[in-house]
Amino acid sequence: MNTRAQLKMFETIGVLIVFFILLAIGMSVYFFLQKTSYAKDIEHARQLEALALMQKMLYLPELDCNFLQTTQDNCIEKLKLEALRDLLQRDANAKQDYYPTFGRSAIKIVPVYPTGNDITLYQNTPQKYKQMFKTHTPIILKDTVNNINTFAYIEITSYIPEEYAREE
Amino acid sequence: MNNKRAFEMEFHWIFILIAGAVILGFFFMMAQKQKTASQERLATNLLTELNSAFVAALQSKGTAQLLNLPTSGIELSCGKTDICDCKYTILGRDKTTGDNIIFGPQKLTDAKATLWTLDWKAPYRATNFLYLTTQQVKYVIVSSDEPIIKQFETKILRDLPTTLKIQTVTNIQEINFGTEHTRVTYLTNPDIQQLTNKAKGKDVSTVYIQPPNNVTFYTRKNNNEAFTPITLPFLSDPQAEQAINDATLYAAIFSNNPHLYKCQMQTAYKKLANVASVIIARAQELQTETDAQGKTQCTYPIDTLQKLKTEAQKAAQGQDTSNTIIQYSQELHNANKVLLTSNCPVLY
Repeated sequence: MNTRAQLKMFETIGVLIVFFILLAIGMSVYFFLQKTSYAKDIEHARQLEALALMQKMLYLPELDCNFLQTTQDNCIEKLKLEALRDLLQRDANAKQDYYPTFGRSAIKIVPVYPTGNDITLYQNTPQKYKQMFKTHTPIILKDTVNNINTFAYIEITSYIPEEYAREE
Repeated sequence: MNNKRAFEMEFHWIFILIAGAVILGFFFMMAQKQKTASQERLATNLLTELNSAFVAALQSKGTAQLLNLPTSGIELSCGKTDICDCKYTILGRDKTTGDNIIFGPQKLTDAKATLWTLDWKAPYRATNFLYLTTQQVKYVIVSSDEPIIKQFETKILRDLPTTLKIQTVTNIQEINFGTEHTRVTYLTNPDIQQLTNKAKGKDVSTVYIQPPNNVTFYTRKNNNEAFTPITLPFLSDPQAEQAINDATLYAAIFSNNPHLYKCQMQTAYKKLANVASVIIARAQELQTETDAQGKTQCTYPIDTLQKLKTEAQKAAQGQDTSNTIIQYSQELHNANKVLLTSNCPVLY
């Protein structure tokens, strides 16, 4: 009787152990999938942030083509662009002020027609990064002095540094 | 034999209880973990959506749009110390406001929020202001029959989005306090004692728009206490309304927290100074070019721009330079008009 009861108990414990092992495996698979899906969400959020940066760029008062307080869509004024680029290169405080806007990214304006030299507005590339997203959008580069409009595009490279990836 | 059997039965039940508790505990732990994970995920998605809405709103200046809010609401704050750490919080997760300048009540709890955007001009467009509010906030404007005040009231009512809950009164006895937060805006000298008596136990905050460019916030820690005044500057002058718009006036109406108003305005002044730097460099270039082309009539007010930049930098550090900023903005506005009529490239 004693041996039978002991055997029955071991059997029950065995079933429980197997049950927990299966449950743990199931849960770890589930959480792994959850984590992957969350990481995808984060990646999607980063991509949206990169697109948001592009949208912000097009309406920055420091760059926009303005005539009598009317902003021209998808247009950047060359004089303002060069002035902002010089300011960001020269003044560390200004670069710090623009960090919330531009973040960890590289912003380049590439003239297409008539061709010209690329203008790098901002460069803040982390030494090590996990991922990067590149976005392009066509613009008009307006030269107010010579009254010339150039077809160009903005190239924004957004970086996700490794420490960010680890945090996530 | 009987005793042994009873002991076995007891042990059997204890074993079942322990095993049951372990299984229950395991599932409880899993459910908690799952809840935390899904809340984290929801917060991330909501913060991303909200940020996208803010960016989209920046492109449609002067418009109001409706946003879906999470049931837990959104909190807007700039910290409790003098250091400005502005952020919005959803489901316990913070996101810094960054370069978005947002004004609104400290807590927004409703299914939908109104997001209104205005560009801030002083005299050039320096940045855009975002105003966030809900139907859970009632805006009461206390005015008088004085023609200037009436005109001011009409202007405010014309500008504010139609989705807001607004009541205009000349006597605070006419205010119907409901369950929502009431934001009382005085355009005339306020009788705060009368308001304290009338609004006992009600969720009320008050602001007095003090001409020409001061704003006094009246806040209280709980709904039965007396109001404490805090006076801060804002940029507005009816004489210079073409040079400076009323974006800062609405900022004071929408923020029921003076610290949030002060911090966000400091960010705005920093932007004003940075845009001035770009406009100065552009003006210097234009001056050189127009001189080379022999357009002697084109004179760019670089000194005034420089002064405006200095004053904006001081304001960004918390100093009250609103009078001089208004003066230089007016000068720049006039200079820009002269450039336009003289057939020169305009300043802004």
